[in-house]
Amino acid sequence: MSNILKKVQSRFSVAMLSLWGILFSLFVVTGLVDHYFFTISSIGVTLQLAVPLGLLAAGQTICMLTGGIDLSIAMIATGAAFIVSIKSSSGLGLAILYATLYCILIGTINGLAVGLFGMNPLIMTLGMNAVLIGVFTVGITTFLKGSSTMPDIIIKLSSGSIIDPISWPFLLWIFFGGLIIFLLSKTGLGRLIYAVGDNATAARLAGVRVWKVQLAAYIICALLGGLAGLMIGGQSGAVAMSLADSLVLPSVAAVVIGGTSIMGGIGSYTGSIMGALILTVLSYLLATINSSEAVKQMIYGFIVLTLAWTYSKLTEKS
Amino acid sequence: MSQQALLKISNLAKSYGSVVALRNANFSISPGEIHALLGANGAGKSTLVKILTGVISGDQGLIELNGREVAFSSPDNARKNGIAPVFQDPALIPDISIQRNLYLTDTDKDRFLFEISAMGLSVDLNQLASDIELPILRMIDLARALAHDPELLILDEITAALPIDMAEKVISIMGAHKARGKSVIFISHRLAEIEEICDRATVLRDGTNVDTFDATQGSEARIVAAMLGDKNVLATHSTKQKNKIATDDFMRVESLSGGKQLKDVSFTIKRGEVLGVAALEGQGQDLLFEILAGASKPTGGKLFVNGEEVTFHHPSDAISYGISYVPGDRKTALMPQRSIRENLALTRYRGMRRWGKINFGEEELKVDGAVQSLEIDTRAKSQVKRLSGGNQQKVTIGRWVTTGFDLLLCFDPTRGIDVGTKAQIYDLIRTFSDQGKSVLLFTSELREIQLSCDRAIVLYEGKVQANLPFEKCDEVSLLSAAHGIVSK
Repeated sequence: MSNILKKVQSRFSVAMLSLWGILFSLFVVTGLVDHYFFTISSIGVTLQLAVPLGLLAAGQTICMLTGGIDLSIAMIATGAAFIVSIKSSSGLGLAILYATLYCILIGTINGLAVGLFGMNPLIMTLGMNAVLIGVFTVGITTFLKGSSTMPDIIIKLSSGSIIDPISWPFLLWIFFGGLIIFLLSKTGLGRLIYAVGDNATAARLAGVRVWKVQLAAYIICALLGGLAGLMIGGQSGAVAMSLADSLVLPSVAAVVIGGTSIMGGIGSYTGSIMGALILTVLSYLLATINSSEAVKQMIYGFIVLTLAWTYSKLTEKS
Repeated sequence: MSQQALLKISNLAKSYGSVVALRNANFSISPGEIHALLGANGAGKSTLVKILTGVISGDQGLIELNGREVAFSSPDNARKNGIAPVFQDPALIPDISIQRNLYLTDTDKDRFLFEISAMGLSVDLNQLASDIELPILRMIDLARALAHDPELLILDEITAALPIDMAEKVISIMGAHKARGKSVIFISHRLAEIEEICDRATVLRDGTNVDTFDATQGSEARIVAAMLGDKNVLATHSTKQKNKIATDDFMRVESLSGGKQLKDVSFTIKRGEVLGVAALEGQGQDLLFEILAGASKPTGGKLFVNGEEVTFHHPSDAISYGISYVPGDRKTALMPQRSIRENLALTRYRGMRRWGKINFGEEELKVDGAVQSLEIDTRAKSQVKRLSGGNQQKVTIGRWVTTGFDLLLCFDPTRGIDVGTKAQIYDLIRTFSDQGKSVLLFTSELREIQLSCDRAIVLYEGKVQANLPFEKCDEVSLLSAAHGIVSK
């Protein structure tokens, strides 16, 4: 018996097991409150809804592992969705190319500001978000005029189901999630992302050009943000300025709940995936409760804080 | 010493998960005694100190202070009970002023300033701790502890980072403390100091006290034997043999200068040569090493590698010329939360060409090679911060063993390391030299120069004061040159 326990322990850390425990209990509680939740198609929808948050959290994980954060991710996502919806009239491929270039541009500015010019990542990306809100607010009435509905193919890719509970967005998530896990655990860049977050001075003395790693992190984060933006846009059918606003804090919370240190250097995307699933089920649970939006927000915030706090206590001990 | 003990420890134990840091520690300290606590790296000294000062709590065991059982809940609590420590690493917060640091420990400013001036130092209280050099910080730490007039002062390797003159000052302060009937626990790897000042010594090995004896009788050999147990390696007996050195220069430094700290420094390092650098604290050696490593820029002068003039803009430039740097402070070289493996392999992935998929087979081969040749203890391999100081130091050197180098810049690699590990590091340096690699070695222990170097330069006030051949690298010559006395 104890042997089996030890084997299980070596596979999953205590922290990871407790995340599964939290997810499972939330799942059961939600099912008890709303019986419909236990159906296959409902699970499919929940997984599908978790995809945008999961992709945003992937970008956030990479930034936070380097000791940074990206709060401009809301307008990166929204901006990418706007660009695709407006430019899709001149061909989907071109529209996606424009959106990709937009993400790379914003990621590059963020990365250079943080890596080369030593800007505080919190201030830099918050400022970037404010600037982008301004640009798009003016843009959609002038140089970015056009349709605000998403092209059909994107709608299908972001909400189309294949066989319940498997959907197109879920497959996309598995693909990109796998890539991120591979990047962080099996590549040289992944090693450097952790190294820079743990001790940038040590990384520099070992010959690492720290700014290049930070630049890469912000660009990858922006690209994932853009992809998440297309998913959100596709799921709601049309684009609006506040498209991704409500997901910014959850994207940070999912990473923290998943055990990534906000100071960088330690954590994993697997943890963030669990965090994203937990937060998605939690939103579902709160949506079934008959109470005002303000009360729901309070409960949500309270639970997120409790989770983050207990988790940090747990990882401290192990 | 039949009177009641000031402090008595019985059966103290502490584990971190599956790693036993302290197994069963027993000893007592009398009033007015200076008691040495000795042991190899990882023997449990630092853990014991942390328990005694309320930083952590023990799993088992009894601590009695003046015959009364105590358990300290915090360092503040321990201080109020008359126990004041000076830890191995500076315990001052870098980004705030000395004055504010004093507030944190509730230290009386005037008493602190009195202790500082008694040391013959002067400190500007408004200065940030990060702007002050390490040795002075250690003295500030000591003055802060003394300002509380503790019954028991605990000094954890305070002399390791100190130049000789300051270390002597610490010794005389301990004597004065004892003269007032108060006690000291003194942890040091410098055995000469132990014999000079301590009344008794307790040796810890694998978390258990193995020997306690009067330090005056305790010969160096007895201490070393108790510390090492079966492993009878004596660092002091490491045989230094002059090896054959190639005639061609690997690196030539010409009129190098850096701000006010370095002036017109010139010297050469041959292939396969171990060149020692001796200096008192703050003579420009820190900057010299940083410039050679590409971590700082010189304000003048030229560097040549294999006869070719080079300019380093970043440490990676130096690395590509085969120059590797082991900094004096292990904390600036290691990623504390990452594994031994990732720390050792880090520099392999520095270039963008290596950003892709890791070749795990090759990595493992290199890492295992380094672990074996340096005999790194891998029990706590998942996070480097859990390793003992000596093992951490091995990891900082091991990183370059995995990549290969032509010149190793080693800044005080044996600081705060036990005799056994010191011997291993000397051997390693000799091995590098036998393989035709050069080493530039700064050490704060002058005796080490003759143990491991082929010749030495002495820095004084940012200049090369002396260039000594092996025969003249005795402590007297080095010390007089280091004090600016012109040797002939």
